[in-house]
Amino acid sequence: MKLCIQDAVDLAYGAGLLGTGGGGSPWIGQLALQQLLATGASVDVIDAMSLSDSATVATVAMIGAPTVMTEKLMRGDEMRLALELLEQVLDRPVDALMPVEIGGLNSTIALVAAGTLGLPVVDADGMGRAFPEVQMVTFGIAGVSAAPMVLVNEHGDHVLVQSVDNQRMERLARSVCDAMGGVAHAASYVMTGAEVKAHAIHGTLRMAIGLGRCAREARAQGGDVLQAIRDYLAGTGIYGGSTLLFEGRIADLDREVQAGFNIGTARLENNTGQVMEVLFRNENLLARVGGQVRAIVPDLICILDSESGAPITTDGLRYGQRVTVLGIGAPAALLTQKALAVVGPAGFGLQASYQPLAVDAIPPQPSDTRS
Amino acid sequence: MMRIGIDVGGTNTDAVLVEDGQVLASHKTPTTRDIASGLVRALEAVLPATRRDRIDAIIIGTTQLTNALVERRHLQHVGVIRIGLPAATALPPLVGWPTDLVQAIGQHVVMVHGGHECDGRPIGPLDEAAVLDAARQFRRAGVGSIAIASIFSPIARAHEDRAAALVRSVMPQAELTLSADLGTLGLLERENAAIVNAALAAAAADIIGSFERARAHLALETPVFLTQNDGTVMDSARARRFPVLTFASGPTNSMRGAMQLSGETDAIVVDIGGTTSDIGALVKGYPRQASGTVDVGGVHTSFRMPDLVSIGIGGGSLVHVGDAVRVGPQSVGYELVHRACCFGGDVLTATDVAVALGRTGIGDASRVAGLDAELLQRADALIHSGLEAGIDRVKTMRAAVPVVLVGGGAMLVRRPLQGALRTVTPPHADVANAVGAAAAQIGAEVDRVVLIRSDNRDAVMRGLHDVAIAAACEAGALAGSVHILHVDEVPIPYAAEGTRRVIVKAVGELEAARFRRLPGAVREGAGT
Repeated sequence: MKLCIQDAVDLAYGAGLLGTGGGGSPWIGQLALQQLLATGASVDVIDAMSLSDSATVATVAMIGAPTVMTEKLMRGDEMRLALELLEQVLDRPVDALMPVEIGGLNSTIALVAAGTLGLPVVDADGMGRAFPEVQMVTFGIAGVSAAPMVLVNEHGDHVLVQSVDNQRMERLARSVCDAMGGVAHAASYVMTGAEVKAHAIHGTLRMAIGLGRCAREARAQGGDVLQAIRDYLAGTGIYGGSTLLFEGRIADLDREVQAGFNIGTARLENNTGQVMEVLFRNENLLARVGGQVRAIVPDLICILDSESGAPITTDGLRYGQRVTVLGIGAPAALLTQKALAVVGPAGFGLQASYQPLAVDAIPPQPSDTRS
Repeated sequence: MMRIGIDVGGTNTDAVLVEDGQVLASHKTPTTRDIASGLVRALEAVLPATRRDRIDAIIIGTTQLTNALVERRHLQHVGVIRIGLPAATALPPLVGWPTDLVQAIGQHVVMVHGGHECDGRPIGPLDEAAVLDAARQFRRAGVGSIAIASIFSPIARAHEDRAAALVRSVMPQAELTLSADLGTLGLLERENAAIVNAALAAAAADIIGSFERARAHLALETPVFLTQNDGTVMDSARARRFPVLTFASGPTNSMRGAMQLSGETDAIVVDIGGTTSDIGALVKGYPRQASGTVDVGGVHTSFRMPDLVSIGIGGGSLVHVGDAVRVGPQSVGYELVHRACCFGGDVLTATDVAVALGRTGIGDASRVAGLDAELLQRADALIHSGLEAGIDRVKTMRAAVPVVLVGGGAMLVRRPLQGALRTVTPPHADVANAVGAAAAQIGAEVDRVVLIRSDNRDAVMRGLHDVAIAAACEAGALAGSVHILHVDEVPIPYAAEGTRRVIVKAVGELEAARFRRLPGAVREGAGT
């Protein structure tokens, strides 16, 4: 599938929603992708199952604080350098790129890098959402090493990071990123085609584009965007159902940047005085009402503008906004015991234990339920 | 407290004389091409209702500057200097802008080395020679208005300030807009706001100059203020420097005016103008704000704007007759009073439909008496169903809510609208914008970098609220009427844990006596 300019817009919406508040602003990636496509570059998205088992696939991502990514924008050729260096270390060429995460900025970053380098992009990722740390990917959980990782900044400074432990890779990469000014372009998780087939979450790129398309069409037809999104997700087979967690206004925000993460709590209030707290660390991690957990990572907690249905990042949350909180059941690959140890509450230092999202029992009706 | 509120719209210029919320006089007159003569006419009509020295302020709301951008009219070429190389070249200035707007302001874009990291360290030294080169290049190209944006300038603005001084050394007459004066983090949105502001420099001088000319013509000594998008005022000198801050003040004024006139604090407001109807929601007396970024004229910015749905139905909307009757979105706009049938013109408009159906006394009903009854019914039904669909989009709950109709086109509506608990057209609905301008508040903002920990957060925030409230009183707000309008917290990445930039805006009612005594104090507090 060759991407068109409209796909870039639709992907930005889908990636924004699946970013669950984090993952960086997809708008920046959308603009970069549109620029690239407008110059006549072609970006080819291929099925994971079409890879040869021996193919070499590298994942690419920007890492760092999302706030920095909206300010110190990319130069554009950082990923070319990262991949050149990675190929030198590997001593073989990379055949295809894959986004490390579908949510947020990084799905568009992979497409921009692929278009720039003339490589295909695999329709898959390692999260089905966004996560903040290097080890939090399905292939990492399955035992694939993040190393070698090459990090590059806007000056062309570059660092090769090697470690046999993905958690230590995270700490090392984070401090390199810090020294590089808060954001770095990274190429890592080199896999064979067989590993991608076995361990990645398939079909997420096309799914995210389709998600954006369905929201756009619902809006154009004056339909219920939220319902359209839920129906679409139910049909993808990737997620475990969804539920409307809360509707209300942002009553208070407490946030800060710690060691490169946007960390904080949003307090939402509805008309009956009920309060929902959403804890976030780049991504939304936990939603609770009066101490009662309603949704917890790795299930997806998405905050949307109640009027437009547009996803709101944790940076974009403002006092007084009318928001709707949507819970989406995580992909099955994130819910194994092994996966939960990495991407579940324990992986984020949360005290609460994982409890599956109480998704709506009756599948949502495809018709517009508003009168 | 007596004020004159004025709305200079695309179609009409309205003036009201308001004392303590009561409208003492009002006048509506067509906006003239030169703006000043229409303004003079409107002022002359309301001034006799009181003694001039009793008027505390003239407060003007205008959509002229927003319209200039939207209609790509009266824009000037802008020299853009972005400071931040080697970063950010993948997304150069003007990226994602509509092509026609880029043509209107030219592509005078220069990127130079410099800018800061998130912790305030320079990315590299400012390339002063490149800034000087850029200025010479702009001067040669005849570009007189310059926008400067530097990476992380909300945290460290030294490079923007230095670049401005360098540009001024080459082009002493240049208009300069620095992004740090207009926005917070998010380089593209802040840079966009600065470029739009720079593109409007000549329009601002003209339009705001015409307000001053009108005042001089009438020999009025009353100070002139302009309303900003958050419903507070700024003086005309500041408005000339930051015309972009007048954006969206029109909808804010009409919604605040609707609240004043109807007494409804929680309602949907439908402002039916000449070309469009803007539909928004009042929550506790204030317009509900749009979340996230807002596109103005196709440009992504981070301004606070009322959350509005705009539909192409207004008093000047063309009624297309043919196989299927259509109303709008084309409109005769300010030419309504020459081109509409009921005014002797030859264009059938939504206003003609209302006149023919006997709902308003304006125009000459005999000129539209011969219109086909079925055509009138169809056009009338389309106007109502169009507005109802718009109201449905703005509502966030299914329950019926009060609907307040304002604007010159409010007479287009003849029956209660679907989805409305009640449909109210208050007296003076046709000049609600001007009433809202007269009711504009005065504000003050504190912008501080503070250290917040979990145990001191409440105390720190309370302290900042108190400082903002005190500053608003200092600026001329009535003590006791001041409250916090909005709070923005921007975490500063990689600084000491808990370091944030906090912006608190407090607003209150203008206090006449103090305000007359301390006109100078207003300026300092009127910013946003």
